[in-house]
Amino acid sequence: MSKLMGKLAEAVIEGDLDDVVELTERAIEKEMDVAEIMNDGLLAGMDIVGQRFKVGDMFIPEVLGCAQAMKGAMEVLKPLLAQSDIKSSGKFMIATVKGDLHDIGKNLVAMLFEGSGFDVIDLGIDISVEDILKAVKEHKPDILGLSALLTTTMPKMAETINALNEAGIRDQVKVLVGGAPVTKIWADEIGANAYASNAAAAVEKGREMLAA
Amino acid sequence: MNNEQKKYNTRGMGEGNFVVGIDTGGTYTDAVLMDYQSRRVIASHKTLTTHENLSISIIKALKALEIKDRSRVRQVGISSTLATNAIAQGRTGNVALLLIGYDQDFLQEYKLDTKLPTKNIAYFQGGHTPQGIEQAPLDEKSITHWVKHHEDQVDAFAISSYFSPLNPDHEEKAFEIIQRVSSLPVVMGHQLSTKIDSIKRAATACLNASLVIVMQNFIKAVKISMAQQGINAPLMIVKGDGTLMPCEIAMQKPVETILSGPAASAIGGRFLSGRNSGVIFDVGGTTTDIALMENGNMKISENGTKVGTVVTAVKAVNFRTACLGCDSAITFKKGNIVTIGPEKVISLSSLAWHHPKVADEIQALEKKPVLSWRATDLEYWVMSGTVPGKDQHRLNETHKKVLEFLTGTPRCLTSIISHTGCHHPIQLNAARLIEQGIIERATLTPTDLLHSTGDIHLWNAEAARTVTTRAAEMNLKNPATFAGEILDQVVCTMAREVIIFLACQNDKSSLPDAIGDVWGKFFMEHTLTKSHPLMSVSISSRLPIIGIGGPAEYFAARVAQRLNTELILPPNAEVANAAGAVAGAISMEKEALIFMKEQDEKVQFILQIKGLPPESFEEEEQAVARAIPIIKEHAIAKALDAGAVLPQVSLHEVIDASVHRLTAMAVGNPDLSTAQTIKIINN
Repeated sequence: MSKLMGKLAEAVIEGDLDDVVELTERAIEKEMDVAEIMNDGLLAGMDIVGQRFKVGDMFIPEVLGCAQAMKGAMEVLKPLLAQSDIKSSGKFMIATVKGDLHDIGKNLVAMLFEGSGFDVIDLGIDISVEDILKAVKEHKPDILGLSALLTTTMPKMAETINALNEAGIRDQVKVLVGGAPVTKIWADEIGANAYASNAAAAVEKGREMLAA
Repeated sequence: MNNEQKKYNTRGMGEGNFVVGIDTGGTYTDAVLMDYQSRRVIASHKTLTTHENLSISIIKALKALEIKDRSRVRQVGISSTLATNAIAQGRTGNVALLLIGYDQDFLQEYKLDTKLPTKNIAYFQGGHTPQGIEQAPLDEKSITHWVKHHEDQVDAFAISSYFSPLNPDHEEKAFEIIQRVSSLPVVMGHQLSTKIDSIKRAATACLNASLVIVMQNFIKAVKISMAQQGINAPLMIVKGDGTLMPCEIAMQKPVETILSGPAASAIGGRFLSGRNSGVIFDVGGTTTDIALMENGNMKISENGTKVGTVVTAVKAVNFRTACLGCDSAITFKKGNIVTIGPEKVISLSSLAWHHPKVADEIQALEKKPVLSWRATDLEYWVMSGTVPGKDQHRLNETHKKVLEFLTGTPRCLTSIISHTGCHHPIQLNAARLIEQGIIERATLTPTDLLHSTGDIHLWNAEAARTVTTRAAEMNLKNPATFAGEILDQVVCTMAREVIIFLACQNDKSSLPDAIGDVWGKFFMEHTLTKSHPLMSVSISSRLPIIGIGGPAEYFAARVAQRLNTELILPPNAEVANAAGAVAGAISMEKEALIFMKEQDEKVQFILQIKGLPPESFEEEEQAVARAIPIIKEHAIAKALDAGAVLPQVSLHEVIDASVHRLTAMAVGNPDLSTAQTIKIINN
């Protein structure tokens, strides 16, 4: 790994947007491979962020900063990505369910998925089952992420799963659930494909599900 | 030679209730007369199935049982592949499917409409939400209008509305509308399944509607056959999960009988063998079915039964079918390759037994000079159906000549070719006539080989020996080892199917259907053939093999040996399917669905029980407490109604994402002495 990539990874961990963008631009000037910039610089940095977050060495505001920085770099890389033959890891759609206005965790998950090379469709917060289904019809995601931070809105996850069951497409969309009150037991009970306790784990589960 | 395979056991003629089991639809129609309490088979009979009219073979089989005291027959049970056959052969009714509240774009976007077994689909406004709230009012006007215009083009209607398990209101309303304007059968999706899957429910409703008339005609015919034989007893039909239902219910829900064959054979195998765990291995004429029984329970498929390409919401026993049976065609291909199946034909030894003229012709082959042997000498054609009027114009001159030549007698393919002035069978261009079942082929089969080796004694063994030797010589094989080698190939294929079936039972990662990659093939081959000079590879089944079906003994014994396990051959294994048609219990279910509903800022829990008005509760627990006694009581009443004696009820609870599903299941043995039992219950 080149020195420049090491610096880029560090800048991602620091969450320094200006540095990340600048280093990415410099790498492009040097005609480095887009895949290399992604994997050895940006994703390498995000991996460490994910690990630190998991063990409690980093906190959500910091991680959000990192993800913002990463997003900035992605903007710079976008035109090149379109030309390169790097394949999308898959299509990921996410929403915070109806009645729930929490969006920090959801945004973090969305960003980490984007950073991992997924096409991400973020529907936003307070999204009804009906609107989720409409969006599924339009975008045909591989994975649907559902977020709920309130025990009172958790049943909406189950309802969404039943809406997919009734539509007859349950086997074509993997459902990933998360949020503070959500547990693995609940996820199993409502028939979700996976549960993740944090954003980094969510990406891991996402990759696993599509690999299987 | 007594080929009608009658078996008598005179010891069982004493006390007790008699039951008659019939298995029909396959190559043979089997009937068995049993003493229910002692499980003793008193008489059994096997006869060729008359596919064009099943009741002929049923009457023949019933007659042959020679039941002396008919008043003692308390129940008749039927296991039939009728519904499955009708679907496979396209002999079902033409159904119009009304989908209410379905999103047509969505179905097309995800190609879900291709999963429905009819092209005649109409979409109407209506349906409900995941909370059972009306998503749009039902468009009653359009339904009335549409039904009026299509009534003369179809045989039956099927209705499915979105989220009908949570709220069947729109299905019920549409049902009433159709009944007002048409006298055709109408089927509602929620009556057959409350699975939350609008596509599987619609497919199930549609298949069911297409089978209603087929099943009604069949049951009428069976009842007439019974009456002619002086049998006056309730008629039960086997369901896909192996339990029994009264024929009145079967007429409404014929789709529940699909794939009941494997369930019946397994239940029969259990009943006759007295064993509670094992691999049920049923060798039939066309296929070999493999099912699993553990601690007396059949494994039920959770994903819904597949018929052809259509996935339904019908519960059936989880089984694997290999398209390899005793009457599978043995075909010789280039490169010394022999294939067995999947086509089912008539065995030459059976044809020779039924037609003495064929037997003579086959014997004459002994004297035919080697130089004039032809492969077509070992193939006969039999006329077994008539060309439907609408297809008459498709027949060419050759077809007409062939059909005329076949009228009244089977003919050797060699003589058919010369009669029509052709040189090669391909010139006859008869594939379509064979596919439609108008012409049936008779060729060398495993049945013939088993006769030639002396392992079975059903049909003309001499003819079997002649055709086997001749086939070996024509294909430059050693006649002494020829039969053994091909039968070994059959055994290996069957054993491989058992291994794949068992391997997939406990594996959720879903193994592929066939053995892939080089090493996989290597291990499988050496497990089956035991031919490696330096190693022995072996796979052992932890469960015994329970052999069922006519030639079960030969194949099941060898498969058990390959899998290093015990063989269990129940007495009367050859009629286990028929025994299974009376050995099953009667099982009736009643379901309650509980789900959350938010309306006007208020959260309620709705209790939905089929046939009852919905009730709402503030707490989920209240709904559960209210539901349990109701569904238990209903399940017991249904089971008693269906003829079960002292049914035992059990409760099953499942969370189906946002729906809490409670099922009460009442199971009891059939009531064989109606009057007395009712007294006991009243006390």
